[in-house]
Amino acid sequence: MKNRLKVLRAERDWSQADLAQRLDVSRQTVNALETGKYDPSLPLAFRIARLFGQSIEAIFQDEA
Amino acid sequence: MSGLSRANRRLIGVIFGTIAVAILGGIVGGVLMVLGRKSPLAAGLSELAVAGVMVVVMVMTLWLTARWWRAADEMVREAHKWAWYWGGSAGIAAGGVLFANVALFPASFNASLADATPSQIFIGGVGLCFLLQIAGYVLAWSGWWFARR
Repeated sequence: MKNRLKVLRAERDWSQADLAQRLDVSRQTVNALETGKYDPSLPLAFRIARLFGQSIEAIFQDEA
Repeated sequence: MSGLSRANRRLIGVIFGTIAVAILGGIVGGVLMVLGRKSPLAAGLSELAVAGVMVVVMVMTLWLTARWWRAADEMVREAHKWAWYWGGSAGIAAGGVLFANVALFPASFNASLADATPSQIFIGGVGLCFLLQIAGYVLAWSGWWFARR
C-alpha cells in the first residue's frame, strides 16, 4: 500500500528511529511501512494518523 | 542492574530462575537415576524429579514467552504468526507424506526399518513431523523477513 510516511517524516526532520520511537514500533517496521512492504494494523494506522494530525486516507492510498 | 525498572529486574530474575531450575533439576534427577540402579524408590523419585522439573521449566518458559509476545513489535508478531501457519503447515504436510510412505513401505527406505514395530514407526513419524514443522517455520520466518528487508 502506497503512503506518504516518508514525506511526512521528512517535513518534520525526523529520522526513522525518531518516528519508530514515537509510534512505539521498531525502526525496521517504519522502514517496511515507508517502502510499502508492510501494511500497518488498524491501531497502528490510527496512531500514525493521530501523530501526523491527518486522516488515515490522507496518509495511505489503497491501490485497489 | 540499579538502572533497570522493577519489571525488568523481575524478568531477568525469571530468566535466570528458569535456567537455575533446569540445571538443578537435571543434576538432582541425574543423581537419583544413578542411585536408582540400586534402589527402586530412588528410581521412582528420579522419574518424578525429571518430570516435575520439565513441568516447572515449561510453565516458566511459557510465562516468559507470553511476556515477550506482549512487548513485541507488531511486525515481529506478524512474522511469527505467518511463519508458524505456513511454515508449520508445510512442514507437517511434508512430514505426514514421508511418514505415511515410510509406514507403508518401510524396507524401501531402510532395510533396518523392516523390523521396526508399528509403535516405533509411529514415534519416529511424530518426531519427523515435529522436526519438519520447526524447519518449515524457520524457513518461512527467514523468507518473510528477507522479502521485507
